[in-house]
This record gives sequence, C-alpha cells and structure tokens, in this order.
Amino acid sequence: MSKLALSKEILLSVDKPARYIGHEVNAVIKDPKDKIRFAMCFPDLYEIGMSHLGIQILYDMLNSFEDVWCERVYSVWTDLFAIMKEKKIPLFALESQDNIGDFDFLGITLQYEMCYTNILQVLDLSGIPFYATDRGEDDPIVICGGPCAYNPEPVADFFDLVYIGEGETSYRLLIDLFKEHKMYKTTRCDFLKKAGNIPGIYAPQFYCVSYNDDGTIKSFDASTGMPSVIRKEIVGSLTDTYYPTKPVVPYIKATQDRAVLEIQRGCIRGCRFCQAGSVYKPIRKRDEKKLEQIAKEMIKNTGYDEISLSSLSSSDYPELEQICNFLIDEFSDRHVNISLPSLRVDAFSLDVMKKVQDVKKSVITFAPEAGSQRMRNVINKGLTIDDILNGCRQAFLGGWTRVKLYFMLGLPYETEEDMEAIATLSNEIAKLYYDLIPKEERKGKVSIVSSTSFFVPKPFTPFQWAKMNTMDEFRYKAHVVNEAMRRQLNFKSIKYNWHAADVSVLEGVFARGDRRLSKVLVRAYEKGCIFDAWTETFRYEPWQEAFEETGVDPAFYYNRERDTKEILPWDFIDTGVTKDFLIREYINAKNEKVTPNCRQKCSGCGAARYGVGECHES
Amino acid sequence: MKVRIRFSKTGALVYIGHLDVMRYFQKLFVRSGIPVAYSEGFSPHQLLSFTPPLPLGMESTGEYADVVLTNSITTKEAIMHLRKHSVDGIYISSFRALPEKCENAMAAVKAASYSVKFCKKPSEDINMLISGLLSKEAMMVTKKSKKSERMINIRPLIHELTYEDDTVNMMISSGSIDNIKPELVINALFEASQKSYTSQDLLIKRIDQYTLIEDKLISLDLIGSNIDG
Repeated sequence: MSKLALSKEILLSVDKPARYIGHEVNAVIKDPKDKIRFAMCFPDLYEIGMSHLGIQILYDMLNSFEDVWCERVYSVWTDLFAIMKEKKIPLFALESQDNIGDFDFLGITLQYEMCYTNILQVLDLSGIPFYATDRGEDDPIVICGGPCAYNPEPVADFFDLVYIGEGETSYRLLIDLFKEHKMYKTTRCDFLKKAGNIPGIYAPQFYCVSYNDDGTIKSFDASTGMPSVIRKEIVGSLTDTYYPTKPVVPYIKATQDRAVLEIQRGCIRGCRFCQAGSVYKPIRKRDEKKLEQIAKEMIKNTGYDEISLSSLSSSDYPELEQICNFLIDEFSDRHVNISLPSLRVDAFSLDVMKKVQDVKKSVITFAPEAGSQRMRNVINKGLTIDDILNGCRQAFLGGWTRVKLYFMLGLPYETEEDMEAIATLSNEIAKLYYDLIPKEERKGKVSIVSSTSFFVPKPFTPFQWAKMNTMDEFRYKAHVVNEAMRRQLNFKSIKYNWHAADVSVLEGVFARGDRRLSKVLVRAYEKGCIFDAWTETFRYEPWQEAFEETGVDPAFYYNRERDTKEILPWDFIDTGVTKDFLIREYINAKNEKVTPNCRQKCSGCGAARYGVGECHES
Repeated sequence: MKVRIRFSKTGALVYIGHLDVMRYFQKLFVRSGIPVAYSEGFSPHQLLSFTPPLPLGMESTGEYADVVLTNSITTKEAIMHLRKHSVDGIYISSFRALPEKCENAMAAVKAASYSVKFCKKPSEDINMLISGLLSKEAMMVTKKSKKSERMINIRPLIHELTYEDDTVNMMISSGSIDNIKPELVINALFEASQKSYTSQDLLIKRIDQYTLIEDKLISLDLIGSNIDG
C-alpha cells in the first residue's frame, strides 16, 4: 500500500485530490537512506507548477546525482490549506509524502512576483520560520532561483540562499559543500557563508543595506569574506547539459499538458521592456540533431500526444525549418500534435501551421506590443506594420480568419495617439480582410482580439529607472483605447480586453522592491492574501492595509523615476549586460532610436564576456 | 481487432477520476507500443471504451477498457509491455481478443460485485439481516440522485448477498439501465435499526463487473480469448 500524507477523508473532501498524491509516471522514487533530501517547490497550484520546464530540468539533474533525492512540492489550494491549518498537518513532498520540514533543502522557484505570499504559505505549513535568521540548525536550507531572483531583495529575508542564473551549473558544488558541512558538523552560519562564495549563489543575511533619508539606498555592504558582486551563472552549451527526457506525467490535466522541447535559450532581440531577453543573454541554441533525439525519447517515455517548441523567439532558431520538418515527418502519422508558439507569421510558419493544425480552429498571433511605429521604436520592438499586414495578408489568403494581438499600455513616453494607434492597427487588419477576401468567399466575420496588459518596469532592462503608471492612469488609458476602438469602422469585428490594474501595480512594487518589503509580504499573508495571481482569490484591500500598517509607500517603488546614479536594490548582481549599455538604451528609447538585433550588429551589451553562444561563435 | 483489458485500481490511484484514467491509458498505450487504432478526422482519438466510472476513493480489481488495435499483438507480449510502463496502482491482469460484434465495455455491464467492510463493526447479526432482506419479494428504498429522489424496488437488483469474515459481498445491478450503489444495499439491510451509512463509513471495493449472456451474469473477463503467437 502506498503511503499518503493525507487521510482518505481529507482527500475526498478537497477539489482534485490528485494534486497531492504523487505516484505519477516517471516520478523518481529513491531509498532515502544516506541521501541529501531536496524538496523542489513551484509556489503555485500543481497544474501550474507541473507545466514548468525549469523545475523539470532541475528535478532531472538533481535526481541524476546518486546522493540526492529531489522531490516536488506545490502550493496547496485554499480548501486543503484551511484543513491543514486547522488540523495542523505539515506540508509534505509528493514522492515520499514526508514532511518538508525534515528535508535538507527546500528550493523555491520565483517565476512571478504575485506568488510571493505563496512562499510564506509553504514555509508556514512546513513549520519553517519565515525569516532566515530565525531558523535553527535543523531547519532545511531554503534557496530560491528563477527570473524573479534577479531582484531577490523583497524576499531576501526569507531565503538562506539565492541562486542567480541558470541552475544547471552550481548545484553540484552546493550539494558537495552541504555534505561536508554534515560530515564535519559545522554550523549553519558557516555553511551559508561558504555557500555564498559558490559562483552564482547569494547569501542575503551576510549583506547589510542602509538607506538615505529620501528612502533610496545609501549603501549595500557585503560582510567580510562575502563577494560584493554576484555574477549570474549560465550554461555554456545547451547541447551538452541536462535535459529531462523522462519528465513526470501528471494524471490530471496540467496547463501545459505536453512534451516540451527547449530549442534555445536567450534572445537576439533587444526589446527594451523585456527582462527575459536581457537576463538570458547571450543566445545559445541546442543542436538540432540533439533535439530530434530528445523529442523521440520524450514521446516514448511519456506517451504525450503533443509536443511543443519552447524558446523566447522560435523564428530566430537557425534550423527551425529542419526541426519542424523532422517533427512533422516523425510524429504527424503517429497522432502526436505539434504546437509551435512564438513563431513569426510568414510564408514558412503559415505553411508549417497548415500541416500541423486545423486552419479553421487556429489563431494567428502577433505581439506588436505597441500600436504606433513611433512607440515600437521606443521599445525597440522590431516588428513593422508591413510585417504585420503582410503576415495577415498571407494568413487570410490561406484561410485563417482569427487574429490575436498583444499590446502594452503605460510604456515610457507614451502619448494618447500611441494608445489610439492600438485601435487603428486593429481596424486596419480587419479592413485588410474585407478588402482582400471577396464577399462570397468569406465564412462570416473576421475576428480580431486585441489585448492590452499594463507595462511593469523590470530590473535589468533599459526601463528599470522608469516611472510606472498609477492605477487611475492605467484605467484611463484602457478607456482611451476602448473609446478609440468604438470609433473604428470595423469595431464589430474587434474585441478588446484589458488586464486588471491593481495586480499590475503590486507586481510593479515587488519587481523593483527592496528588503523593506518583506514585512509587507508577511503582513499581507497574515491578512489572508494567498494565490494573488488568481483572479478568484486576489483581493486588493488587504494589500492596501498591509502597506499602511507597515508604513511602506508603494508609490515609492513603482510610481517614481529613478536617477541613473541611484543605487538600485539589484545592483550587486552582474548579468553580463552592463549598466552603461542599459543607460544607453534608455536614452535611445527616449530618442526613438532603434538598436539592431544581435545578428545584425553587436551593440556591446556586455554579455559577450561569458564567451559562449552566438556572441562567441560569430 | 478489438481487445478487452482488465485492470485493477488501487492505492493512491483511487484518487484519480475517470477522465484522468482514460487519459492515463491513452498515454500508457503509446509508451507500451500497443498498436491502438485512431478515429478519422482532424483531431483523431484512440478507439477506446471503459466500464462505468468508479467513484473517487474506491478500489477495484475489476475495471475494463476495450480498445481497437490496428495490428495483432500477443496477450503475453501486451501484458508484459503494459505492466512495465504502468504505475503501481494500475495493474493489468488480462488482455483478450473480443469476438466480432461484441458490445463495448460501457454498454455490456449489467452487474458488479463489491466487497464491503465496516469502519466500525456493527453489533447486529448481519447474516440475519441478509436472510431477512433476501426473503422479501420487494424492498422499496429511496434512490437519490443529483436531480431527483424516487422510490425503487432494489430486491430484484440484488443478485447475490453474503457475509463472511466481517465482509459483505454482493453482486448487484450496474450499468446504464438498473444501477444501484452498494451503500444503498447496506442501508437497506440496516433499515430496521434506522442506521445510515455513507461511503465514508464503509470500505467498499469493486471486485468485478458482469454482462448478461443467455440470462446468466458472466464476468466481462470471460468474454473473448487470449491471443497466442
């Protein structure tokens, strides 16, 4: 009989008990004897966490170490959370169903700011003190990583260690150091200090931040023996590294219910709003032959009926045509669907899509991000109106009738004309359809769905100094776009959606926050904030109270333009891309000056210092 | 060619719902290299049929899936591959070729057998209660569904009812026409003492499922034959 941490009574009283039982295909079970026990956590619901490739890579890598048993843990949904709190049931890992509090490591991935209260839920249910400095010798070492770790400061107090960069490189060193610490029974403090000297690993408690009267940072000082700069870790070759060819297959439908093939990491494009494009530089591709082998193994080992390419911009993968043709030849008569997200819409991609999808059902997607060319120059989005209209023209002639457009509102230097251009661009695409396709050949109306999200400035982008809009400004801007939409000739063919402004503002606070925000997070959690990324559970009022009660002004963090000389909370991290380059780009943005992509011309961002990837090869 | 697979669902797997079990088998067939046939059309799916859903939380040793194959594969080979690629809680016990024009698993089921244990052993003489119930010609009970409540006579729907080693064993009607739950029979037994049991108070296990052939209830597992090399 397999061991379960929760009783039958509890499992049958909660929604989707399969979230909590483990035992999935390809889940790794080991003999716990003499193993370093690592609990890897995605602090959101099972269905979300199970869809994440990064965790799958780390799970595969850590379990490939004979002396480590890595297990998974996710946030528990509100129904089970209430039961576990009431009955004082500790949080457990899925594989062994053992308590997280008894593990050696608890690793938490930070994928988005709005999961920060969920981190506290995980610690709370595991019986681990929130603040790293309150933890005892026997508590697990709590470590985080992922994109939000590029500014770990708002949550730095909760972590013993922060891993900056790609996880494939330094975990072995960390495990070895931990084993040494266990063997020689050194103190936790001593271990953490040594760990903080491993490449890419930051131990926040050995750094001291002081502030000026105006609230800005006065100094950020490392204790003796600790590095003053943490350089992000990256994998040199994506071809010769870990890749999970036997990923865990969930029983219930995960958000990404398919095999995922990561074709490259990094991006050649320099969109000025995009953090991923900056922190994952330089671009590195995985060898096409290697991908073919991985794809075959993954399908064989999982039985998935769908495989998807993953990268920031698949169209920039040099052997895209080969890998697409391979997938079609290998899988199309074996009933494996092929999904190709983030492809530029052109003759090639439309041809591929025709082969792998039902044209009637599929949607053509563009992310112009801004409505006007002027604004696209500001953000350095190298997509022109001609690219969009040519793509749409070919798509409409090929039988497609549905177009999705993604935009941002609240970008720096945005004017009312730029906002209205979102509506005129949407209209122009609809008009193109009606001009192009004769009445008798049309199958109903063309459908244009335009969505706007609110721009949140992120660390390590040229807009890291920019002032973010207030909630009222955002709402006004959405209103401007909505009104402009209604004035369009083809407005009946266009649907306009916009995001909630309150969540965006919170995201803005935590994205560029500092250590003084940890107490806000604790207070908000105490007030019941949890699953803030979910519309059904998000409430803004308790957050407002939490800011007021802790005396923290959110506007200081999001609604303020920073001087480029100001010490930023994340300045101690070196991502390869230099501050000088970011300042240059911030100025270029203001001057509406386009910077060529990495393949057109090197702009000297600094990432070439890593000596890997395309910067190195070309 | 169509085959019928018998499997058990135990341990942690009892918390996996019916639709997820179907999805599990779709992937299991691919991993095991079973030559499953797909439907035509733009979104083809495996030609697959299951016996009626097992309630969440209930174990079973008698679940069935019928599947159409494009090529033949021996029973021995198929079982070996399926077991190798399955998880602990889903155990494949048979793989048999079905005769032509055989009802699919879902439609074929007319009865199911269950074993029922009590979480708290009742003080009543259960053998007495059983003979009392079986001696009646009619036993009217209220059957509640999500939408309605109605009186039905369950006596003709009870085909076997015994008590041994603290366990009630029963074979009762199941499937699309006359479907009753084992809890309903247990509550009918205790009607006089006005006790009411829910699935939480009982440990119920589905043992097997049966079809009706020439007025006889026959295990779904006995239809068809093994495939030899």
